[in-house]
Amino acid sequence: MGLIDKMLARFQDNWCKGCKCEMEKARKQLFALPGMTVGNYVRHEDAGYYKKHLRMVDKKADIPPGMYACGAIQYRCPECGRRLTKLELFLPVRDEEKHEIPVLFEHGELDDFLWL
Amino acid sequence: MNTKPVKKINIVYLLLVIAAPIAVIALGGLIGYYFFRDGGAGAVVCFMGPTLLSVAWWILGPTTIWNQQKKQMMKQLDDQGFNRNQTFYGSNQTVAVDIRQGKVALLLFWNPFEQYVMPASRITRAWTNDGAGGAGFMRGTSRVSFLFLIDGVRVRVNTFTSNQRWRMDDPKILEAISKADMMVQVLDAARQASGD
Repeated sequence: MGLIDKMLARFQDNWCKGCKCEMEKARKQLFALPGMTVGNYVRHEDAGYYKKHLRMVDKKADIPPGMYACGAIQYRCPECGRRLTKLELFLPVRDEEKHEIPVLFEHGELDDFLWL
Repeated sequence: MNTKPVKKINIVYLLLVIAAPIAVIALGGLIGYYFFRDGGAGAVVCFMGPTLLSVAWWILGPTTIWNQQKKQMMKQLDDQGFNRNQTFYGSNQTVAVDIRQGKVALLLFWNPFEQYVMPASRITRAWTNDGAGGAGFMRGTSRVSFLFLIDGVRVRVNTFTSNQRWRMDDPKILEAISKADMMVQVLDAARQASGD
């Protein structure tokens, strides 16, 4: 693996560490996170938390002010088929978004919940 | 329920906070002047004691009273069955909202002994002020707040203040706008529940 590939694999979430290629965006869905409000954000890395609290919404406008949103994206490696789920947590504020550090699930922990 | 019109400042309390220590300093000075003309420990105590106490009072007194009154109000609200769906602790105002019962509780820094618990229908309007100013890359704000008109009295609750101007897309500003928008929405929901 070249230096650039190593850096991409290290710092870019949607980079397949095994095949050294960019993963495809397979699916994405927007959710509201009613348990998380402005000023009270706590990072959770437990899939169970998200299964319990995520509520599917069609568009950002459906999320009330002060409530966190979660964009779930599933990546798939076109070569080895490896899958990765990335949860982008953000606070929608009018036309802007305040982003938190994304949460990654590399072992399909949320697949049964997100992509039914 | 408090049926009195909202009063943001209790003049007696304000004067007591500001003027009473000045009177104490003056009294100490008079005592020192008339009884300890030759100086000594008595004069030092009379001149320095009231001054130090007054400065300590100005720094700590109103804040301590404010914090105690906030705690007391929250306890009383809980005892009264006021379901605090949302509570916002501003620097000079505390606002609690019970959406289902359509009630608002309000405590003001310069009137801390009056706790206002009232139907949200007394609020005629609630809105956010993001304080945006400037143009182009200079566009920014140093204050974000939500405001509401209650009995015709305008109450401003700051969600962010600074002595500098911050960009409108700064995370701190976004969070402050979000808090203000959320409180406006909560107040509107309480108004509707209250039969506005």
